[in-house]
Amino acid sequence: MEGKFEAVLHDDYYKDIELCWFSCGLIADKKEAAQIIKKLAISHPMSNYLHLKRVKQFNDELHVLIKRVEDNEDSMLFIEGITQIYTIQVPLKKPLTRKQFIESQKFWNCHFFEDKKLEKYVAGLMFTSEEIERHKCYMKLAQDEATKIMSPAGGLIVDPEQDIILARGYTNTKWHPLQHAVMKCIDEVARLQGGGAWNEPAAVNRTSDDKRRISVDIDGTAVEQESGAPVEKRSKIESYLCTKYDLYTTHEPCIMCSMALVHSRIGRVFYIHPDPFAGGIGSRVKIHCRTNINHHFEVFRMHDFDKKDLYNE
Amino acid sequence: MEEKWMSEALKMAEVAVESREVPVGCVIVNNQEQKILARGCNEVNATLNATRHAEMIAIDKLMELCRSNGGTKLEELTPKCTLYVTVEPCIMCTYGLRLVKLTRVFFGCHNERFGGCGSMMNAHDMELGGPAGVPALLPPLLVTSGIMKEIAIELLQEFYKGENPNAPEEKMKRKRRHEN
Repeated sequence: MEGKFEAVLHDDYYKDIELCWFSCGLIADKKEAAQIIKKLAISHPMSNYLHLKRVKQFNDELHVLIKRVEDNEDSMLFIEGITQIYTIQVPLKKPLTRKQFIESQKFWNCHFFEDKKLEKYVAGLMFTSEEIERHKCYMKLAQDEATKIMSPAGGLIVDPEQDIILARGYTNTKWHPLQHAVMKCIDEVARLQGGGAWNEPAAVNRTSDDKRRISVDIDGTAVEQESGAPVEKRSKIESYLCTKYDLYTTHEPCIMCSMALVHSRIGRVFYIHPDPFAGGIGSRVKIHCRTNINHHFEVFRMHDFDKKDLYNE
Repeated sequence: MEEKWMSEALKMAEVAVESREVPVGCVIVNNQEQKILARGCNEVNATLNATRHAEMIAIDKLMELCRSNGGTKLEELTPKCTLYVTVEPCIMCTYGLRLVKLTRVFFGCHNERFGGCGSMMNAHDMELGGPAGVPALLPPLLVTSGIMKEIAIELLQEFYKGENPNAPEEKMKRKRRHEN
C-alpha cells in the first residue's frame, strides 16, 4: 500500500541556504598562517558566523575569510600577510540538515553536526513498519468516528504507552460552532480524569471504562477489543492533561484546536487532510514550532491515506 | 462605558481567584440593550480541561441562552455583542471568537505568553477561513486594549505568587528553582 508520513517541521529545516558576501584573501606565506589566523581572530572575530571555517585550502593555496561585507560597503582592506583580497559568497546560516550542509559546502567549508533523529524526520523515516501499521489502524478509527454520523472530521486520543484509546470525537458544529473533533477529544480526556465540561447527548453514555485496546491482526486489520480490566484512574501527576498522548485526526486542527493542543500538552499529532484556510500546525501557521510557546509537540501528516486505501488492503 | 463592563469582567476574574483558577474573567454584552448576556471565568482546574478559558465558558453560556430562546442563532446574535475580557484572549480563544462571528473585543492587559490579538500572533485580523469544509472568510476582530489593565495585572501577579495545584510535581520544582 502506498502512503507515507511527513514530519511537519519548522520551515528552517526545509529552506534553501542563504548566502552573504565576505571578503577573503590568500595567505602569502603558509608558514605564517597560524600567526595570521590568530591575529585575525582578534581583529576580525567571526562570532556571528561560527559555522564557517576560517580557512579553506584550494589548489594548494590557503584562502582565509576576513569579514562580512555589507551591501554598499567599500571593501578596501589591508591586512598584513594577506594578498589578493576578493569578495566571495558564503553560507549565512548554520546548516541544520545534511541537505543544507551539502549545499553549503559548495560555497565554503562549514562545521556541521548531524542530528541523526532530525535526518530521519526530514526523510520521513521515523517509524518502524510496526509503528506505521498501528498509526494506520488508529487513523482508520478516527475516520470511522467521522463517517459514522456523517461528520466532516473525526479524532481519537490514544495513550501510546499502553496502546489504549482514551477519547473519540467528531466535529459537530451544527450543535455548537466550537465543537470540533479535537476540542471534544480533549474534553473527553478531561472527563476520564474526573473533569470535563461538555455533556452533549452523544457523549453521555461513554463511561470511564469505555477504553478499548487495539491490536493488529496478522493480516494487518485493526481489531478492537474491550480492555480486560478498566484502566485504573491514574493519579493526577501521572496523567496531567494530555501529556504524552497521541491525537489522530482526519483533518489538520484549525488555529483554535492547535492552540488547545498546546494548552493540553499533547505529545504527538497525526492528520491526513491539510486545512489551507485555517490550519494551525502546517498550513497557515506552525504553532507547534514556535520557539516562544511553552509547549512543543511533534506533528505528522499522513499522505495518501485516503479511506479507500485504508479499507482496500 | 467600557470601564463599567470591564469592572463586571474583573468581578468574574475575582470569582476565578476564589476557586483557585488563573484570574481571568469576561462578559459578553448586547450592544443595543446594553445588557450582559453571558459571563465567564477560567474553569481550567475545575474541569481538568486546559481549554476552559473564560471566553470559551462565556460562548457556551451564550449558546445555552440561544437554545433556551428557542432557535436564536448564535451567529446572528454575536455580531451585535461586545466582549470585555480582563486579559488579551489567547490564540485559541481569538480564533474561537472569530468562528462564532464575534467582532468587537475590549481587553485589559496583554498576554505575552499566549496572546492571539497581537502579542504572540495576529490571529484577530489575519485573513482566515473557517475550518475545513467551511472556507468562507471569517470577519476580523476589532480589538481595543488597555482597559483597566492595572487591576487585571495586579490580580494575575497576586495569583502567580501561589502555584498551579494541578501541575505535575517536577514542573513545580523546576519553576521554583527558576524563580530562585
